Amino acid sequence: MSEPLLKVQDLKIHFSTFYGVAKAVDGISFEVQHGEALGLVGESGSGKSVTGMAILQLIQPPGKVVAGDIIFAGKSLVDYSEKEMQNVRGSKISMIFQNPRTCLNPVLTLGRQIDRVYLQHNNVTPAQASEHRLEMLSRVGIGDPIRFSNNYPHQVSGGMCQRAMIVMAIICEPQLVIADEPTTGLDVTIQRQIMELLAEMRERMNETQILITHDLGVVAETCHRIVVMYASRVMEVSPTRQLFNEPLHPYTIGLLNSIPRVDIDEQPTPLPGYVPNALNRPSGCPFHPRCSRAQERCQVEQPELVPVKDGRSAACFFVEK
Amino acid sequence: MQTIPDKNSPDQIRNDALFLGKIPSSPHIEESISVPLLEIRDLTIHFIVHRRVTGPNVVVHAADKVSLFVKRGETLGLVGESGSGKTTVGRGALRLIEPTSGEVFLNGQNILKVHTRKLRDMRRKMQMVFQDPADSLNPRFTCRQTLVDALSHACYGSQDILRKALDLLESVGLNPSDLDKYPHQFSGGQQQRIAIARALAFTPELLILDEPTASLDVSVKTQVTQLLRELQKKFNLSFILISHDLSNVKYMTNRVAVMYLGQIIEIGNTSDIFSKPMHPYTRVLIDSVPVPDPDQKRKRASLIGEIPSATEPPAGCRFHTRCPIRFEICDQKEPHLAKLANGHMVACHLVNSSSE
Amino acid sequence: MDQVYPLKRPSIWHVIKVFMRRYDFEIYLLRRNPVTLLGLGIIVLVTLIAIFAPILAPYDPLALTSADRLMGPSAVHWMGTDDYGRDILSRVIYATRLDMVIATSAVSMAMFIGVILGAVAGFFGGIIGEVIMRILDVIQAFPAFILAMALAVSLGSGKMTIIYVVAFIMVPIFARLMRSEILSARGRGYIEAAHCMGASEMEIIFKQLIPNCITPILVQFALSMSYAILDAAALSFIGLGIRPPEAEWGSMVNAGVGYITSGQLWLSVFPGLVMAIAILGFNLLADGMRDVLDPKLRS
Repeated sequence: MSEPLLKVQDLKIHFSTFYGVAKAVDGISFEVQHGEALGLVGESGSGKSVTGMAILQLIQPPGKVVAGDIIFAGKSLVDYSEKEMQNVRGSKISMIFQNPRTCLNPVLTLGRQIDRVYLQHNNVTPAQASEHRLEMLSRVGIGDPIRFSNNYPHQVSGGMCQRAMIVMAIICEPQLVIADEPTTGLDVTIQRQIMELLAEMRERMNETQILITHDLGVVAETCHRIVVMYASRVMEVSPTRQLFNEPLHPYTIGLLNSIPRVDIDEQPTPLPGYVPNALNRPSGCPFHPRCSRAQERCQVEQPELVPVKDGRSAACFFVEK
Repeated sequence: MQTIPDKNSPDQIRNDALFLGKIPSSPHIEESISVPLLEIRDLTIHFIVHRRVTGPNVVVHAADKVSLFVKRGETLGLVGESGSGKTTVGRGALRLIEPTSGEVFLNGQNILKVHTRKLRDMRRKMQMVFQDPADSLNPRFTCRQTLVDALSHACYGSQDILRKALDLLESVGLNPSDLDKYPHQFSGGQQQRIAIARALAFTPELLILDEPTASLDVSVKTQVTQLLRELQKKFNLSFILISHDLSNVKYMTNRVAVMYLGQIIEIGNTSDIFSKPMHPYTRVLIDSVPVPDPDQKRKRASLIGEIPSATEPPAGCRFHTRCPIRFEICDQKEPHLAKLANGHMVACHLVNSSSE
Repeated sequence: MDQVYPLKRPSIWHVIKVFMRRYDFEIYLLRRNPVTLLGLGIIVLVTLIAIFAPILAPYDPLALTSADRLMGPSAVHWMGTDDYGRDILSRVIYATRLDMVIATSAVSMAMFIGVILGAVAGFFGGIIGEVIMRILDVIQAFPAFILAMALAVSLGSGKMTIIYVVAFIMVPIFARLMRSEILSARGRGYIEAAHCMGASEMEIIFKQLIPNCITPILVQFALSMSYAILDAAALSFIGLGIRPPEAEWGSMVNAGVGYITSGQLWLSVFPGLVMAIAILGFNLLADGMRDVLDPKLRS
């Protein structure tokens, strides 16, 4: 297998708060291959968004990367200075945020904001930048790019704001795009449009994507491989089809059984219990208080993420190799 | 001696409803015998967003002539995109927003025609569960204070209040030791349970659930949904579920009303709506839901464009600007809700012309 | 199942424990923020001096000893004596008492009236709100101190006058703040939930809204205390407030002004210095309180 584009190794991110140290990410590892779409799935507090921020080195105090390495295209991003990272952000790796409206500057037109990103990383004149921007906008299916560019964020809908964010993220043709809940908060019809746009961009521009979301439906339809996170740890890594057809980890099984489905008439069975607080993680396997298969061993010993078969891995003692 | 029928008697109301075609007469006589708990007739809510000195005011048509009913013990889903007016209808039913015109009957009594004091009494029979539980609980009240406050409004004596509070906590699956915690000490799912307990304090007949699980974690959503279904059986509650999460609506409701730009465009039994949606919008809406099954290669009709502004709704059929199968008449004539079998009603020219 | 525990009336220790648990975060922040702690220390000290003035003062503040006129600071008179031979330290201590009473009463009064006016204006809006806010606009349109002077002249001098005057010019500050807080809070879910419960409007305002909007009001209270001290002293300085011989910071500074040129600085400097320290204390506390009480810091 060729060298992966991104390698996250044993990453640990801690937030020190009044109530103690919150282990937001507690030793996770995964890889992203060139041209693939990887889904990072988890509930709130599972550490999925923090992982995305860490790849761009955007963790602010009181948060801190305490251990681990992030290797992008053969180089460790952890060693980069802030200045070097600024050259990476936007041009090599870029990010699409959940709430486009709050991430856009309200006093600049959408066109100006997109141009800024392009001018920052490319040695071009403003006229060239705006030409490039208009071309990109029509590529993402905006009918009237000039009128769109002259709008301020509050003048357009949430779906259109998200489109502007996407253009900002891909205008420098980065190798890796991290999309953090790109469709949450949008209506299903608009969500479908954005999902199609992201898939199209990936194919046409040969991007690699990391899609961070809590919606299993979204990843099932857009990703090649899925990393399931729970309580700061990776529970399971599987190619999409296998994950949904034959989930390995009890958490994945429980999660899949707990969601109501629009396509089949099956009653969901809820997972018992609550997601543990980041400050007060259970000992051993973090899922054991809610797990139907938990035994004494699970309370004491933390299962490692081990390869199982067909490029799949799971962190559970009871998954058959 | 001939008795003059009481204007508000259940029979009279049912007759009115039958006369107005709100209740399907046959063949489901048995279903229709029960008087609807809540009935909304031609509810219209307009917001004036901008008063102009000259010319007409800028008005948001949040709800336009919405009619629906909720029977005892059933769940009615209200679905649609944001801006479709589904939340407005829910709030209008409680008169949290003053409707522009229309009628809302709770147990045969028009809630829009009563005075403040009576309104307060009637509101207690209809409670609301909000989308964001952190926002709907007073951050300075402990769980105990929240429940005691609600129970004292529900006219319980101070003797019974604590015992009743504990009963409520138990019925929503919380521990007595949670009583003295503040909202921020609970997780989202637990907060929503407290909000539900607070609503139950009034032994309401109708709960209006405004996206009750939208802000909860995936694995907790179904717990809360399940809890609501259990409580529905236990207390014989009726629900109006306002939601954009169609999979949840399918799981929870008996009937569904689909709204678009302030109007109901399709209403019917949940199984009918999901198995054979008649309106093109309903079809697209159901097709757009991402399905956690990578093997399913469904034919997807994705919708172009976005929901138009509710200040100037399109003429004719409001959906015609985005409709994949529109034809000439659609932008001229407004379709009316046409009855199909089983109380299924659709507002679409295509369906209307084929059924006539 | 053991259901006895919550049915008991909670003991006082239980209440204290719950209270401490509620505010442990604030206590933690306060500990981390030494400047605020300094402000708090100053205010506690000033308050203690005000309360125990008769015990702390070495001399009678009004006792004239003509033999001891204009003595510089010494072991006998730590801050020296004034032109009538009165002990300045004793007078400063009594002045602290008077000024604290004036400032606290004035600001409390302003807060009480302002909060109610602001809450009503914010909650009901419409014509009631407009009328209230426009009246407050008129009050604010005058330069505050000129207005205070005019009022003081028409009401005659005295302690109560200063309290009324200072309260009057501070009402708009509290009312405006409260109104904006109420406006943002009244759309919250728990207010709608209270409407659903059939709560009356007064109940919603006093039980639900005001307690949730009171945090910035408390910060404003501390901030206004320093202004109130300054205003009271300024009015007395120009002779419209407390009249001699009663000890007040402003009038003491005024009394010493004539002696500054002749080098007898202590007459004005000591009362002025104590006043400055007290004002500094309130400002530091207000600044820190904003950080401590800001709910955004809790995430």
